[in-house]
Amino acid sequence: METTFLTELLALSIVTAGLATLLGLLSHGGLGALFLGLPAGLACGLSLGGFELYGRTGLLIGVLLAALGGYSLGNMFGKRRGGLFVALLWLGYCAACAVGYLAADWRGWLTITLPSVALFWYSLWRFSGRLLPIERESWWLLRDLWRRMFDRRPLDDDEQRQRRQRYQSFRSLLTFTAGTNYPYYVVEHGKPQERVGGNPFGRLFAGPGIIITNPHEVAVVTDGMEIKETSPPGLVFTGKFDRVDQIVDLRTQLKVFDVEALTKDGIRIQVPTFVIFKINAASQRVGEFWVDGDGDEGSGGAIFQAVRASLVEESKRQSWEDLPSTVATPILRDIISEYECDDLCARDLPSWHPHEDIPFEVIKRELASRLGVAMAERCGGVQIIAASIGNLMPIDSSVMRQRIDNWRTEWERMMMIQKGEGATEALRLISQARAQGQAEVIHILTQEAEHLEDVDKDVLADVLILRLLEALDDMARRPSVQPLLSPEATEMMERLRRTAEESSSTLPQ
Amino acid sequence: MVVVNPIRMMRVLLRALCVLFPFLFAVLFLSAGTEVYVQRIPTDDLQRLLRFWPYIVRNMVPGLASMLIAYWLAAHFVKSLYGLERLGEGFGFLWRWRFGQVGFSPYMRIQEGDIDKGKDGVLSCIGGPGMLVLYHDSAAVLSRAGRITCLERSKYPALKPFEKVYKVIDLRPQRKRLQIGAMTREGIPITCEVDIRYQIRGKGQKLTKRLPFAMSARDALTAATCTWKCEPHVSEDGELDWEKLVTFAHTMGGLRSILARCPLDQLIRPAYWAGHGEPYRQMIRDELERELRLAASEVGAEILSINLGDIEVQDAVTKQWIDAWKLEWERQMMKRRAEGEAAAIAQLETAKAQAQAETILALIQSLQSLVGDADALQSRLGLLRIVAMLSHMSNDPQTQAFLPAETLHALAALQDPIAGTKGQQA
Repeated sequence: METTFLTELLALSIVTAGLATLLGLLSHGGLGALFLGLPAGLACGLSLGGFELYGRTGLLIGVLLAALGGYSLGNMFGKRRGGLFVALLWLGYCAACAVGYLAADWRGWLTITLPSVALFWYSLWRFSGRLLPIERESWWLLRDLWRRMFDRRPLDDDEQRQRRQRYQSFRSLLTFTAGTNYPYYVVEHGKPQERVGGNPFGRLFAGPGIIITNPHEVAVVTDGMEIKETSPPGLVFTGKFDRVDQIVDLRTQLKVFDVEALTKDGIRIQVPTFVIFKINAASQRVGEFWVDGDGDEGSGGAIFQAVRASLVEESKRQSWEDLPSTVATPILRDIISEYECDDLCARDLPSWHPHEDIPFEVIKRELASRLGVAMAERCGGVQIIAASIGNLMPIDSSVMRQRIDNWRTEWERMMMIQKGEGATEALRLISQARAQGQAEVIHILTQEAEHLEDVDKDVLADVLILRLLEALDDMARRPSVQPLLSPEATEMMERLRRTAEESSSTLPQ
Repeated sequence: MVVVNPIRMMRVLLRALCVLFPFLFAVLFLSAGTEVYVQRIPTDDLQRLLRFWPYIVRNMVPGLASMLIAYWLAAHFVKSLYGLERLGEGFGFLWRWRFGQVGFSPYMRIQEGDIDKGKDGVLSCIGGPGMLVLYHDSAAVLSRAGRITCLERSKYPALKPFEKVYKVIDLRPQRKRLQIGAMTREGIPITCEVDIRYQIRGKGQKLTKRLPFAMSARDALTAATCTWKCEPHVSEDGELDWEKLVTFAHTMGGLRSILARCPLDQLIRPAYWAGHGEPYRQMIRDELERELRLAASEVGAEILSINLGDIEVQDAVTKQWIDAWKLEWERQMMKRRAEGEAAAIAQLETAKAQAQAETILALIQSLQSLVGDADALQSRLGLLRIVAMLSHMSNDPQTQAFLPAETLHALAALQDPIAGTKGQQA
């Protein structure tokens, strides 16, 4: 009985080791066969040895020791997760073998254990097709068999890509379970977030890495030796040594940065500068970020050019997104150095001056034009859509104050003129009133003289002087005038009148 | 609470049965077959097999366990890769994808231009299968595997596997008030308030109760995918979506460009320039509107209205402006005061009387020297002095303006006879 069991166990061990070797051979060739077949053989040998030494208890001890060894081995290659997977896979297989053997000896291994193992791997295969956003080809296994047997037509690119993705997906599940996967990244807010850690330098049974991006993001992958072909957004599988070099955003980008520049007259000003750019690509349809195609027409070629043109500044690598600002800064400095500080605004230009020719507009236009040319020369992968500037602000605040003072000066001049006008007006009105008064006096006196035209010439002067004096006297007695005349003046007036009367009375009648 | 739809549940169970039945049958067949062989049950007496059902179940365990372990491993993979909180979500995802949804969950509710419910759920991490609840005020752009798939506006669209909501568009008319810093033609900093109303373009679209907001699919898709990337100091979330492009980028840039051509005085004292051509505010508004309409159409939006608010200047400029404004009033006040004073003088004849008194005094003073000498006064010298004084005064241009021409002629005529009499005496 025990001999039969030993024989069957030996046969099972040989089959198990053989299956493991075959699996290793299929996945990784000779090295894989060695690395899977040898541990499987050792585990089977250990179980067999245990049974040989201590019977069924020894077999159990042997199985457990092999599981422990498997855990150590898995842990060494694929962390704790890998260790557990190897150990549990071994124990599960042994349990299935036990159930099968208990049911119907070696025949039970064929009807229960082997189908269970097959079902396990098939289930893994089926599930792996639903873990990642890959395009799935239904019944591809049958179709592939058909093709191989009857239709020798080669697979087109799409079909090849689908097959590759499907295989990578299965491999991802296996290596994730074994802990030998390469890192998995999901790009969030333009940055790759590591979701599942992994060693990209693993070789044996090490799986692909995964990068999942948004529709507007592309992962540039490199293995350090070369930049890998850029894949469209969505899902990217990475290989050995691969790492994410950078995430390229395919959307239009706005870069805002301050440029400090010296004007022609040596005044330092600060200019907020805006550059709008994107990865260059041939015509895109609405809602499309990625353009397929090789060379300059496709997004892949443009990304390669942009990444290649990235600069290293003080030993630190700059992103390609910094390229437009790096190129625009000296251009804007050059443009501003052609202007004097006062010329940067259109203060002295007449209002009818064409809009396009005011300095602000000219500088904007020139910056966009020169930047477009410069970027085309330096990196065709980046397309400049527009460039603009904000307020041209002198760094020294006194310049701004001076501008305000200049503006105020004009107003102060106008204020002074208006003030003068007011004062002049008042003076004019007062002078006018005085002149009116004087004119009235002259008018009255002249009227008095006019009435004496028919008087004898000899007495004319005497009569005239008397009439004039009387007129003066009348005026002096006016209530408005009298208070303004001193008593001496009134008295003098009286005396003059009396003297004139006396002298006139001596004249011959 | 999970709401189960009986019809869906039946459908799911049927599908599950169809998929799993071959495997379950195979496992059962092999397990039972093994027992038939071991127990040597004749094929014509298979009913005896029922007595051995515990053995059959035991034999089935490895096969069933292998499928469940594979399921568990796959769910674990999903949880780890997509950052799910619970393993159950991974199981649920795989189940839904293979067999469909039993109920309405998981779902994402979208209203008022944003994801209202389910923002951090499994639909956001992985995507469908799942459901969307789309309110009438929003539209959703979906993506899958790095490609934009469609624009959804129906009530309850179903998300396909790995299909995610890429962007939500608010279809309601929007209003924004912005304070925009700019520089005048003189290079003086100012701020201007802009009140702008806009919405997704949808001219010619038929409006219904279900879809009360106009929207063209192409424009909505354009709006969803026209987002610019920018730095956090420009926009907190590092993006300029269609709304920010309209309000922030285009309005700000356009207005700055226009204001840079305008002199400060014309901006802050438009009334002063009234009558000097087209009003500046109107001109700025029209030009801004023209530019914005063009820019908005490029992002799938349309401008409903634009209004310019107050234009504000720095304190020093404001003070100067107020000084200048005060000055105008002061000038008018001075003028009125002068007019008032002059009028008062004229009314009371103060000035006139003063002038008259001065004249009388001047005449008296001129005659004063003659008072002591009666002969001298008899002579025409005195008279001539008076007349000469009057002539002198009448020569003053201001006085002359108030004298009638006859008075001047009379004065001249008076001088001649007196001078002639004097000549005869001599």
